[in-house]
Amino acid sequence: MSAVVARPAARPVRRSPLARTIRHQLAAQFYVGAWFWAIILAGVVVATVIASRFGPVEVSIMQYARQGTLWFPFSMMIFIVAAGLTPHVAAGMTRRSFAAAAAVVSLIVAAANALVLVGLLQVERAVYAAAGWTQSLTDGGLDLVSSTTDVGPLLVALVVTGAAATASGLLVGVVYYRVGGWWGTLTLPLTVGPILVVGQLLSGTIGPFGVPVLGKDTWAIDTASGLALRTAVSAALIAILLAVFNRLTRGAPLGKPVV
Amino acid sequence: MSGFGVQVRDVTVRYGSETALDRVSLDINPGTITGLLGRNGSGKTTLLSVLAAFRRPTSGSVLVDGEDPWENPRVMQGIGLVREGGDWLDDRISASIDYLAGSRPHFDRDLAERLLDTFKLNPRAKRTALSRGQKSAMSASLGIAARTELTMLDEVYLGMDAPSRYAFYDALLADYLEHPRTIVLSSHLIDEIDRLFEDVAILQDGTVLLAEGADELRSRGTTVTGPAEKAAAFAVGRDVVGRQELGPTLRLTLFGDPRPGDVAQARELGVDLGPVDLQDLFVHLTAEPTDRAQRGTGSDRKSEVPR
Repeated sequence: MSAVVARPAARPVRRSPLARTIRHQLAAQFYVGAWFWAIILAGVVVATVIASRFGPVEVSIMQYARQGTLWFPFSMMIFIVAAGLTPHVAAGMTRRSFAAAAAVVSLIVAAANALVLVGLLQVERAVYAAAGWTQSLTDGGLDLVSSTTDVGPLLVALVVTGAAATASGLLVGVVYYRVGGWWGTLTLPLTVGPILVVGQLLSGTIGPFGVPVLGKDTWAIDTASGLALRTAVSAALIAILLAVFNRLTRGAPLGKPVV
Repeated sequence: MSGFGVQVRDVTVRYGSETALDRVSLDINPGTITGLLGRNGSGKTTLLSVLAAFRRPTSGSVLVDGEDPWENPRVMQGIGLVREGGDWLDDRISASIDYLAGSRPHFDRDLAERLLDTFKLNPRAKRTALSRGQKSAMSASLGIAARTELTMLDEVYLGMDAPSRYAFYDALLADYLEHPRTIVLSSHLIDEIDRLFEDVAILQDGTVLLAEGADELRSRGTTVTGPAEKAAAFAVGRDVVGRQELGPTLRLTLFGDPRPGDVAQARELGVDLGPVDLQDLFVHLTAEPTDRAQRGTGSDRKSEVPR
């Protein structure tokens, strides 16, 4: 006689609220991010083809996507708070898990966009080289590097400035969520200002941190220690933005539902 | 699954200079259906929002299943407050189902889909494309299917047509009997849902007017039906809070504890006594003095000769 041992039914894996929320927010961000990059890529290809009609192309066209990689994720982070906080809490999860997930997602989105942009700049460089063109960088925000071959510093600058933008977007979103349009708009210099500060810190020659008074040796951006110092200050600013976002989110009363 | 009990003590909520709740104290028994009644602006939604950890009280304490619900993962997981329109994702209905399936431990996907089918809602429809009534039906469906230990439905059936509302009441009651839990229904459509109530709490101007068993409350009033003159005679010296005429027949709703000789007097006069309508009691209890004067009923006008 043989005994049939009943196997326990497979139970669905229950993720923690934090893991679920990260997964949910990332899925949405990657979906719109794919569209964002598809549109950018199409635009760059078209612009490159048109530019090549007038002679050899001498500047990187992909570099102009940098502003988009700051402000599009910035706006998406505002959306995460505006559209996500109320359903999250109404579904029985804490503001704490929402704030933590949004912070993680903001950093991942910034890193992913930076990686894609750096990758596409490399592809562009290869295409330019094959066509006999010159890939020069003219965007002041990329003054940190002289060429897209400086992948390390380029990636650091793009990740950090991107993270400042996404963290700022979260903060703007929660301030508008909590205090509405008037105060949300009046506090924009405080909530958006850090993007500009970080942008200045990680650009080579423009802005107040490029002037001699502040451009002492320890701050010199073309040295490893200077770049590390600027990156550390930028990271500290981003940490402050996320800490304020976290605090404001954890105390937020839910708004009225949209009927 | 059993329901969560609620203890509210001296809770005050202020919005700037406006006081929405003023030292409210209230118990909600676990495993019951409680009707939370009150006129517009009486503080019902604010109270439910505090219980659901949607907002913090300005002062006072709230315990749900013995613990403060604010940012309490265990308790919040078991509290569901469905507001009119619902706090769902601005996406397809199916996205909200997936979302709740991940966050609500007792969520029943099959039940949600059956209820959506009952209300003729396509799960692939986008929430933003739904009419007000369809949004209410979606909220009602997901609110029931979430099977939270404390389920609170705040005027969720507004906008639904009558057949949909009755389908909702039936579905709620059937699921409650199968999966007992604590349910709080906030509504002003009292006539339709008072059969569901086991307990009733009435708020007025941010305070608790009364909180007691529904049967106990019903026993505080009587209806008398019969020929107009006879019914009027029975009502003399009593507090008349409702009045309906149908040809020669008059039906009066009387507020106040029954008197020992009521049955004999009714038999003598040839009128019928019956249970009171919660709606009439609610209107009476929450009426402003000017409302009562306009209706010609109420404690400030003992009925001597009802019209």
